[in-house]
Amino acid sequence: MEKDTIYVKKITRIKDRHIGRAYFASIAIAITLIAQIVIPKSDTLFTKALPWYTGLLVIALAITTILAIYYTFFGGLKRFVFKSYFIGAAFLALGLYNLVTLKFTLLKPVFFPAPEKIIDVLIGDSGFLLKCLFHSAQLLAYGLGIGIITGLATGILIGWYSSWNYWLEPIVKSVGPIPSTAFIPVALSAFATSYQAAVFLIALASWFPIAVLAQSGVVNVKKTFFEVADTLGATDFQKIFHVAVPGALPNIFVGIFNGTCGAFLTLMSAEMIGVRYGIGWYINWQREIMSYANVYAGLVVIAVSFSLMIAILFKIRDYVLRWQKGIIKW
Amino acid sequence: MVATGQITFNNLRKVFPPRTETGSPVEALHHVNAEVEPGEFIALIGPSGCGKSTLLRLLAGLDQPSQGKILVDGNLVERPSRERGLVFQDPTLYPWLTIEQNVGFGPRLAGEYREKRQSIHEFIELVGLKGFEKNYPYELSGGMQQRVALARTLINYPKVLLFDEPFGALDAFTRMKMHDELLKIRERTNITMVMVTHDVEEAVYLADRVFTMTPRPAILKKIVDVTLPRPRRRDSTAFIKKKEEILDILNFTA
Repeated sequence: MEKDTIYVKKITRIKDRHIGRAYFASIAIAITLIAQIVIPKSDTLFTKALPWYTGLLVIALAITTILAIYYTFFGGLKRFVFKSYFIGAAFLALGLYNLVTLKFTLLKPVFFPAPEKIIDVLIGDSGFLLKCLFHSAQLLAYGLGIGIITGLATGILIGWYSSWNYWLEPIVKSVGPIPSTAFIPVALSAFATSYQAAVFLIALASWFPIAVLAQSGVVNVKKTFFEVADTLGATDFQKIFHVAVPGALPNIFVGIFNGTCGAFLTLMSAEMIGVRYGIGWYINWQREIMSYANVYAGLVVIAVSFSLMIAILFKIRDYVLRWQKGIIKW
Repeated sequence: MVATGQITFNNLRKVFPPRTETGSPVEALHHVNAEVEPGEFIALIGPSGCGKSTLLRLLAGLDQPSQGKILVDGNLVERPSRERGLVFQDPTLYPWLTIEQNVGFGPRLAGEYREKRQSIHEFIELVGLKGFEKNYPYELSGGMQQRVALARTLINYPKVLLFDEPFGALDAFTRMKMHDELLKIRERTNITMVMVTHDVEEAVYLADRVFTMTPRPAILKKIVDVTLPRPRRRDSTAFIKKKEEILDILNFTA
């Protein structure tokens, strides 16, 4: 009797699973892989065949199939099943791009290299790409670091002290909205090296949103929070660091997020105007010598590293603002 | 130990500047004179606009009187101080701090958080929130939050405890429970307490004396002694009589 009920339960559970959805990714990848193997390379291309794209598809097919089979029998893997449609669609899009480039050369091969060529660069040039990435990261760290520190200082000062507000706010409001790339000519002549100029421009780009949002955060902290602090014996200075700043943190994080995006933008521009090395410089240099496979590889590196950075920033925010649970987040 | 927490209101007047250019100044308090004995429980009661909250804010030192002065144990009240704790209707706990950190906020400002660790836990226990030390305010009910606010002021050992409609946002049952807990705390600490309320029953249940206030002119109309023995019964004839007496003064009975 007892065994029967367990048996029934298992059946219904397997029925409940989204089998079709789980296998969608592997089926889509299989179709892409078959297209890659069956359809011959365009006879207008004279480059030698590279194994990378096929290899990538095989690995992706193996992983998604194993996950889907695991899901069929044991359940779980919610995230994978949820993302399955997207993963499948992404590989189908990649396969389509492979068709119009490698297989039928519908697009100019010079500007639109086949996926296998891009992967070839990512693997073959990985050492140099990493060096460039490290260089960019360092430049970004200097610029963003200065931008965050000065931005927070400015925002807190003009949010808290009316005298600072009187003198600084007009400057923030007039200089801030100018895109920092507009300062490139000024920065290049004002600083000894283009590296220093780049650090300045990145700092400037992140300084403004952080300053403005830190200010509005400080201004919008509930007045009674300060009154309570008063009756608990707080000095003015303590009220800034124990009440105003923590109360402004949600806004400060929005500012840091916006500032980081501005910093990315400026980093790329700065690297294309004279800073040597760095991923933006790499892309610009490869474009000049017409190796578009390298340009795309550079873009892939940027996409991966920047989105990773934003993801880390969000994780930090979620930890620091854990007291905010239940309040809607942006 | 000398009893502390004696309060003197001396010819106190508060006038707010006009709201509009053509308007006239608003007199929020019209010459208040009164004395509060150490350890006394005073309720300030009256309709809105009678200046009871203004009086409390002046006593806390959050606003300055236009005329006259307030003395606590003979010292002039000029600015807020940890000697006069304040509990608002809204618990105003710092949402980014845990319960423990909220209660320890005063000690932290004084740079003695570590030394007072034991004391912080005792006060959390005193208000019946043992086990919630690591929780954040959003995880607590309104009544629990108000207890934390109370513990947060008590830990500074204030001479005077001020309440601005502290239980106004709580449901009737929680409110009655909080009344009894507040009286227990008062018995242990013997702090002078001044509470703004517009609940006559609350005033009669808690206070030794009730200051009735009226608007236009905003004056202290009459001080009513509540000498009923404690614990007080809300349904006793004497209790109901006292309520009627106060309502009568405030012109709320036919």
